[in-house]
Amino acid sequence: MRKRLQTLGPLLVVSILLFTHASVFAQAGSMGIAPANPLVGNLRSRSIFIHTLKGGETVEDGVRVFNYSKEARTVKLDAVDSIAAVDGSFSCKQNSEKKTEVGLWIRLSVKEVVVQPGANETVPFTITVPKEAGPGEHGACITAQDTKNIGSKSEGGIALGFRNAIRVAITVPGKIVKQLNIKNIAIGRNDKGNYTVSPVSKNTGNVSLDATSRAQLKSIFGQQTPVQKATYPVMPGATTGWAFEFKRPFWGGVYKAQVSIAYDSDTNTYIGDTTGQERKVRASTGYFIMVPTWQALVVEIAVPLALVFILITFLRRRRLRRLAHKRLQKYTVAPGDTVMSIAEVHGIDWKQLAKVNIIKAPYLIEYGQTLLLPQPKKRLRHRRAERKGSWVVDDASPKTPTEQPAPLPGVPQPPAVAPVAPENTWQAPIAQTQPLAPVPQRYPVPPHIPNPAFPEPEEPDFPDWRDGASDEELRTLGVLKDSATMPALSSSWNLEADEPTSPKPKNSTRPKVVKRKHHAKLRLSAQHARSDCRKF
Amino acid sequence: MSVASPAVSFPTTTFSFSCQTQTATFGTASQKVKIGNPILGGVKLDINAQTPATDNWTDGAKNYSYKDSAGAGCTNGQMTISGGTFTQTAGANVPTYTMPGGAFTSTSPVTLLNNTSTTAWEAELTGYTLARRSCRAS
Repeated sequence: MRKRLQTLGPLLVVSILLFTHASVFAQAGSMGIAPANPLVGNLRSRSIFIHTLKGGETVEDGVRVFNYSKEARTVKLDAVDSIAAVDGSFSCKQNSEKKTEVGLWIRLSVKEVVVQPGANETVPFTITVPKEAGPGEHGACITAQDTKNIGSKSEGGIALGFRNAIRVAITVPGKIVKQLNIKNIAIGRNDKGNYTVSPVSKNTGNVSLDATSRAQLKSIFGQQTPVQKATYPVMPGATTGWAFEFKRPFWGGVYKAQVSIAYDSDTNTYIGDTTGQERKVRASTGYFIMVPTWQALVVEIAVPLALVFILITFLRRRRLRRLAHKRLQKYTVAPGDTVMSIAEVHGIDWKQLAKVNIIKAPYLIEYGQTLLLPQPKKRLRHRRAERKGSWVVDDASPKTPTEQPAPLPGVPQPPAVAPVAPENTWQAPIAQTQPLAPVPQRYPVPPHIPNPAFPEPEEPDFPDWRDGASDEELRTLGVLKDSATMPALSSSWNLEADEPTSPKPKNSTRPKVVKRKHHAKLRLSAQHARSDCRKF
Repeated sequence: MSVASPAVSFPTTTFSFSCQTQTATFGTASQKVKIGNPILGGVKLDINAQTPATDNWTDGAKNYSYKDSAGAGCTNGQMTISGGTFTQTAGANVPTYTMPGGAFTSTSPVTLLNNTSTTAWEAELTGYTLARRSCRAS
């Protein structure tokens, strides 16, 4: 059954209680109230009524009513019991509620007063403590409400009324207990995204305590936020707290909350009096995570991801390089081989060959050295018959033999070599119906063909120093000046002929001079090979 | 020029066999709550029904409570106050305050503002959300 809810008739009429527990006066609706007779030396008595009365005692006091409007105000006054609000803080009962406690101890001289505009009126009242009243603090309120501010029930919602109230604190001496404990610390987040630390304390004594609560956040690395502080009253038997707001740190982090609550523990002092005898209770939470801002979150996620990506890429490339090395063909250097010649034979770039094998200038290789042959960037199918100077690019077009270049004039042609199926073409294997012809493990060294365009210089025939050079030879080498004559060498090993030496023993072993002709030949061969390449 | 009495209006709702929530704003732009702490001390602002023990809503046939937490407020009705913006209009220092709010669970009032600052200040309170749980239809 669908029913339309009509907010009619006697609905919720709400009154706003403007309540002061520490300020001088309360003001609402252009009016205010304040204690008429504050205690000397007690600033709190300027805001709230503070009395210490034994059972059966009576005291007279007064409340001052102020009118800040431009017209006369009729103000209703009343004394009501105190009550704890939902959050445990001190509050006052409504005027409509029956008085059962301290509200009965207060008797106002009048219940209604007319205050002229801009003026104030003092309304006397008495407080009579029952004889059976137990020791400790007893609370009540004196309220003042402009008769025009009393809301009326209306359609469609709630009407609002406003009133002022002042706390009345009456302490009956005796066994006074001042005790406050921290029950727990609640961590939460508010609508602004900041974190709130709410220590909840319980007053297990029989008097109110002005508790000074301090809260601080401490990170797991020792960083601390500024201390936040607040002082608020905790009624006897009440559980109340305070919410401290901490701005969310940019980078977030792991923090714990540290809380301390201090109060005056001297049982001979009352509200507003401080002796410095302070008792402090402490508590802390476990570590909790404070979420970083989204900007920091992006950095905290992106940077590790980037590092991981870089690491994975590096490891992957290294793995591929290792695999590639394993798959590379190996070649053993034969006499006469050069980097250039090997590269030409296998159809690869000589620079790539040198890079893979970490061969640096002047690109020297040794007989018997094992080289790794990289894959060519372009597939160049090398045929042994075409090694004289032609290359065929391996593409989809049918293979046709290319023309052989014209041989160089005057250059003896090497004997024709039967074409051999290339071994290292790096092509996908093709299913064979007949076994492939065996191929040699390595290519024969091409014969050295001197290029008349680049005549090889004659190797100077260096004379054996043991035989002694003639003067003519020395002059040719530029060692002797024109008319100088080289002194004859001694037949002895010791060239210092001034000193007598023993004759050379017979059948002695003379050190051999190793002529580095092979080295020079390799170097010249490389130069010769480079010159051949330039033709293409 | 007369000023209308302040009021908070809830929208009418057609409901069925389910729990619904109606919301209204206490402290609109045209009805701001002005509060001050002119002398060193603190100010507290509470809200409660005028007659907490018996006040309720009615549709003419059935009454609905404002402070019953049974069934998450859906059994008999519950009102919750939350949010609110504190805008300081005077005073050199920013006061220390909290705006706890809460749900009515008994005859106790709900605290809208709790200030313990020892400096003089004035402020405007706006934007409190009054959420009223509608009850299941009988």
